[in-house]
Formats: sequence, structure tokens, C-alpha cells
Amino acid sequence: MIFTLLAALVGLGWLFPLIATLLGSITPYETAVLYGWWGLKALTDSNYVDLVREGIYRYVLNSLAIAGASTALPILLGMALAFSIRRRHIPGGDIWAPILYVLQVLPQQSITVPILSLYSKAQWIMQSYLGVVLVHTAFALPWITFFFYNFLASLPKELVESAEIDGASDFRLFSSVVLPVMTTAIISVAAIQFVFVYNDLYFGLVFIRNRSLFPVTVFIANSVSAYFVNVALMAAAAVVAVLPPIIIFLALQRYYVTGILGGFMKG
Amino acid sequence: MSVNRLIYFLVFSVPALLFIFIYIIYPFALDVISSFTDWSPTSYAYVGLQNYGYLFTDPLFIQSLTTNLIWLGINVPASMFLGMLLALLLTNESAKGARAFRTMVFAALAIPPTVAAFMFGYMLFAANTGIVNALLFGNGLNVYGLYWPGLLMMVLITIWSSTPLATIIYMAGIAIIPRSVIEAASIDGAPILTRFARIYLPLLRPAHIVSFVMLSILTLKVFDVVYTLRAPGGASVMLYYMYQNLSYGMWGYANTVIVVISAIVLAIAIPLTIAMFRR
Repeated sequence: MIFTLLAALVGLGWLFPLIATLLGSITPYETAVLYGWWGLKALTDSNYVDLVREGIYRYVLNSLAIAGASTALPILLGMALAFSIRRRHIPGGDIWAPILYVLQVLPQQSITVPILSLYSKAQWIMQSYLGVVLVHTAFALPWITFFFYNFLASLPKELVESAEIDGASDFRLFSSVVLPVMTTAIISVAAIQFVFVYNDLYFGLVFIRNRSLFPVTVFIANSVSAYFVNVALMAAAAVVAVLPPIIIFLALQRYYVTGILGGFMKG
Repeated sequence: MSVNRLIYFLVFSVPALLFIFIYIIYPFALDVISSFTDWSPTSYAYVGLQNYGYLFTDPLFIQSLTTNLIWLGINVPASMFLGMLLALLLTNESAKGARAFRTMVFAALAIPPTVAAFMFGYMLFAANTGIVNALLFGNGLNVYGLYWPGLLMMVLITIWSSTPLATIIYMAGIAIIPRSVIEAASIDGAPILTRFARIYLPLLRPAHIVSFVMLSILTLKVFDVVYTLRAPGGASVMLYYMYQNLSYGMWGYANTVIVVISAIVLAIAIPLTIAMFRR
């Protein structure tokens, strides 16, 4: 009983900032400043109406597009690389696993200046999603490859051996033996990577030079750090911004947890 | 056979390796090299160790480094402790509905740090609009003007977001403790604190190590929260300092900061990696 109560208290406590923001988002700005959102006076949907008028959906769509592409691409490439390491196509073989594991700790900021000077030779790349998607793809490859590398070790040896006896090429081995059993691993990686990219601020901030293509995190960060902050309006923006990752998280929680563990611990 | 291997190598490995080399290894190598230059939009000349000398005498950098270390010193132990506690609580069989409450805690992992910064910074802690400031401090807490309130608010945000991570690691750690060990202890009737100190604390050593390393690295790399709240009370961190120098066009100098941070982070990660891959 005492444990149930404690767990409930902790759960609600952790959710409190979100509840506060939800209540703030339906309070008019003046009321929020004069009485605080917890006064729960003159509740309204006007913040959301204003937000839609400002075109918030565009920033959310930008985030979704960037996150979608930056999830699909590294999964494809990372799966292939992990398979290649396990099949020893690659010089060095297993030594790549610890190298990739170490590479994933480098700060995102480490690529800023070199990649910006590379991109400056093709400015259009920062006037589109492409520049930032390529950066996210590269940065995700170490952990995603490591995750699949771990996962491949857990596959039963007989699975691969029987295909070898049949004389199947590695293309066939990959597409008809390995790929079909990877579904859960792919969902785990996709859940984490999608939410990570959607939630990221830095790459969007630095590698997109077109305001109308900003992801929603950049929109919020720039609005919040402005001289004047309309807290009620920003609360509504926060609620809208948080919906996609929360929905994905709720739907795929189990995969999410295995994904976090598999990316950081050697199985 | 070797022609096949070459084709496999080209198809399976090369695309990913190209990305890794162009976007991670080449930039990092260039960071290291250019940290010995005055690289800016208008120049690129070798200056030796000048950037490093300047870095460690700039009070702004020293203060950012100190802030990072204080942040680490609070966030890592606090999140580890809370994470362990929550893992024990949420895996406890006598806690009903633990799954639902677990979800409520883990949901913090899905919220962008930028949004979390707004939620804490404006809905909880800002004067007038923040409930904590209004109810506990009578709107007298100056989180945006004073160093310690500003820093502690940001630390709280990261405790909130990194505790679930520690919880996940500890739950995995608890799951691999043999049931017989736990049962033997509960039959003994050992009091809960003794069980915690004698069984869980030592048997969770792998989880301690992994969460310590992960959280330390995460804390050293905080940026989003500081950027969103514009270093409240002047509580800047290394990566925010780097970003500011970047926007002044001091590229070589900004990269010097990157080299320092990377060196610290790698010094933490490499021993763990070696230990992990040796077994």
C-alpha cells in the first residue's frame, strides 16, 4: 500500500511540469501573469488559435520530416554496416565495434565548423532539409550500428549456417534470413532515433538557414530566448511540440527501453 | 571469393563508412588541427598553443568549466540515487499500478530538452508565472539574474530528465540479480535498509558504472537547456561558451573548446569501452 502510494506520488510529480504547461496553455496571457496559471481563471483556447494563425504546424511538420528521413537513412546504412562487420567483409572486423562505441560520445558540436565550411560551398544544402538530415544520419550511425551489431550476436548460429550450406550469397543471407528477424530491433532503434532527432535543437539551429524550414525545437528556443516571452502562447506551443514524441513513446514504450539499453551496453 | 568480399564491402560497408569519415572523423581531425590556428572567416594561420593558453586564462571559460563540473557533481549522484530508488520502487511487486507510474516517469525521456527548459523555466520557476516561485518564494527567487538559482534550476531540469535513464539502467541491473539471492534475504527477514546495503548496492555495480559514465558524458555535453534559457544568472557551460565564440567567427578558438570537452568525454568513455569489450 505504502509502495503504491509512493509510486503514484513519484509518477504524478514527474508529470507535474507537463500538467503545469497544459494548464498554462489554456490560460490567457494577462491572467497567467496577474494570477498565475494555477488560478485557473478565464480558461480559453485562444492561445491555440493564435498559435495556429502563426503557423506552428509548419514547424512541427518540418520536425517530422527531418526526423523521418534521419531515422530511415541511418537504420538502412547501420544495419548493412553491422552485418558487414559480423560477416567480416570489412578490414579490421570486430575492432569496429569498440571504435563505433567510442565515437558516439563525441559532442554534436564537434562537427560544426568543418561541416559548415564544407556546406558553404553548396549553400542550397542549408536551404533544404538535406544538410541537417545528412548530419543526423552520420551522427546516429555509431550507436545504431553498434545496436544492430549487438543484436546480430543474439541470433542463433544455425540460422546463418543453414543459409551458408544452401550456398546463398550474402545479399540473400541479408535480405531473406537476417532482415526478417530484425523487426523488433528496427522498431526499437526507430523509436529512439526518431524521438532523438525530433527533440534535437543543435543541428537544426546550425545547419538550417531558412526560417520556414526550422524544426519546432528551434522555433521554441528562439521564441523563449526572445526579449519578451508570451508564456501562455509558448505553453500552447510546448504542448503541441511535445505531442508527436509523447505519442510515439506511449505507443512504443517497450521498444524504447530495449533500444536505450542495447545502444549503450554490450549484450 | 575475394571478388565477392570486395563487392560486399563496397555495398554493405562503404556507404556508412563514408558518412562516418566525412561527418565525424574528418571534422574531429580538423577540429584538433585547427585548434592550433586562428581560423576565422578571414584567416587561417598557425598560432601554436595560443588558443589553449588563452582558453585557460579566460575567466569566462574557467567559469563555464566550473559550472559544468558543479552540474556534474550534483546531477550524476542525484540522478543515480533517484534512479536506483525508482527502479527498486517500480519493480516492487507490492506496488500496484507500477507500470502506469513508470510510464509517467519515463515520459520525461520523450520531451525535448528545449521544451523541458521552457516548462521549468517559465511555468515553474519564473517570477509571477512560475508556481514554485510564487508559492514557495513569494516571487522573490531571481532565477534569471543570479548564478546559483539559475544554475540549480537547470540542474533540476537535468535531474528530471536523466533520472528516468538511470532508472532504466538500474531496472535492467535488478532484472539480472538471481531471484534466489533476493528471496534468501527476504526469508532471513533482513530489514529493508540492510537488504539495500548488503544486496542491491554491491550487486548493482555494473549498473552503477554504466549509469555513472552515461550521465557524466550527458552532463558534460549539456547545451539545449542553457541555450533556451540564455545561461540564466550567467551560468554558462563549455558548449555554450563554444557556441558564442562560434558566432563571433572565432572558429579555431571554438574548436579548441571542442577539443577540451572531447578529451574529457573520451577519457571517461574509453576505459569503460575497453573494460566492456575485454570480457
